[in-house]
Amino acid sequence: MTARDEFDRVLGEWLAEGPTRAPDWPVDRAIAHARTHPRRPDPLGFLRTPAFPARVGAFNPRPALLFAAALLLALAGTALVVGSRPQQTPVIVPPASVSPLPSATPTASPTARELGPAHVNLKLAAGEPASVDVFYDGVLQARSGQPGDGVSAAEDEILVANDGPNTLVLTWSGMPCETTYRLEVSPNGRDYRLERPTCSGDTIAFDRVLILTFDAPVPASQVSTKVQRAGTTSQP
Amino acid sequence: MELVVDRGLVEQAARGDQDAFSVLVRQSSDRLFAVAYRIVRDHYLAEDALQQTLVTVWNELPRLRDPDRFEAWTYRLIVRASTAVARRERRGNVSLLPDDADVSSAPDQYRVVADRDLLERAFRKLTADQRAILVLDHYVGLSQAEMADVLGIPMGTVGSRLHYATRTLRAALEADERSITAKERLA
Repeated sequence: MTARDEFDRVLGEWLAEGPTRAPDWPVDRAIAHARTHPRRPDPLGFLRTPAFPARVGAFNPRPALLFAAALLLALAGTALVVGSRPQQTPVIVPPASVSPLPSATPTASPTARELGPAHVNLKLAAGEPASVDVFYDGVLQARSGQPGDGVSAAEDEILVANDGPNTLVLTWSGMPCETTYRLEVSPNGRDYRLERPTCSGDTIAFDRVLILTFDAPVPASQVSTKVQRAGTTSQP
Repeated sequence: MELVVDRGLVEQAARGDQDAFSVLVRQSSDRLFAVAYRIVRDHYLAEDALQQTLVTVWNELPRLRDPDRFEAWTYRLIVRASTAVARRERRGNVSLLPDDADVSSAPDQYRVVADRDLLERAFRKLTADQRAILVLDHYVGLSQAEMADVLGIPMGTVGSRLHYATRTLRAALEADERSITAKERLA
């Protein structure tokens, strides 16, 4: 037996020691949570981002449905253009609970990058009210998503997913004492730097979900993120 | 990865059947707690990670398209919750064996205990991600492809993370052993 095999064996034996039976209370609380949060029907659930990728080769109807919906929209748009030649472009109106960005309409000034932050009050499963200021002028809409009760993202990690080609869903975890965030987005919309407040308190973290809609497609796979504590310095 | 979860239970729970969910989490909790404990090395923190994971399971289960992926998905959730908890607690890292402990002259059975304490201390020096990959590899027994699937990272990253985790653990153990040997010489 080599030294490497011996090391693996010792490590395996040591890891095998320790508890293998879960205490009852976390299970009981999760079941109680399920009873107090009955599931509502979600007719559009099949369009939502999967929680976990399917096996390779498994049929996933979502891309086909999204493609069909996009095709229908494109056809409808083409019919409108050909039929009536509308003079005004559609305007996306942010929901009432969100402070809108000052303007996303292209302006004559090419230097008008800094138009001020979009202030978004975050929906939370628990804890103090929290908000995030988004610094980027290319966002058409910034709003909070509905987080679950648990934690999806590791500390100092931002999970990024597309909800449509122009929409990104950013999920990060934070402790209840973290109430103000600052999110800076690079001009190309690909680099995100989240500044989180420094605080100490409850160790139970909860998700924060921010949904950003842009005026152009932003693939989640091309997005890079960085999380830093307020007061620390770092290059984006 | 052996499938031990009833596909029908997963489908029923995803549709909102609370009784099915109860059975499902009771079937899964021991497996998930064992993984959480081995990553965070603390009973109470492992309980927190388990509770977070089970609540997330209920909230997100409808978005699990393939019920056969339930086991792998829950491994991903417990690893994420555990590494998040471990990172938060890293500042309060404790040393189980005092630096001046003399284990060289102890009887064999005590030496074994001391070796385990050295291993515990060295393991706690690893990052949360490194602990997680060692647990998935040496305790759960996943293949590298399964670990890549569970962690959502490329196979190459799994290999390098395993390599560095093992190397860091060995280095920490060797550093401790050198420290003990030096104390023996001084004694």
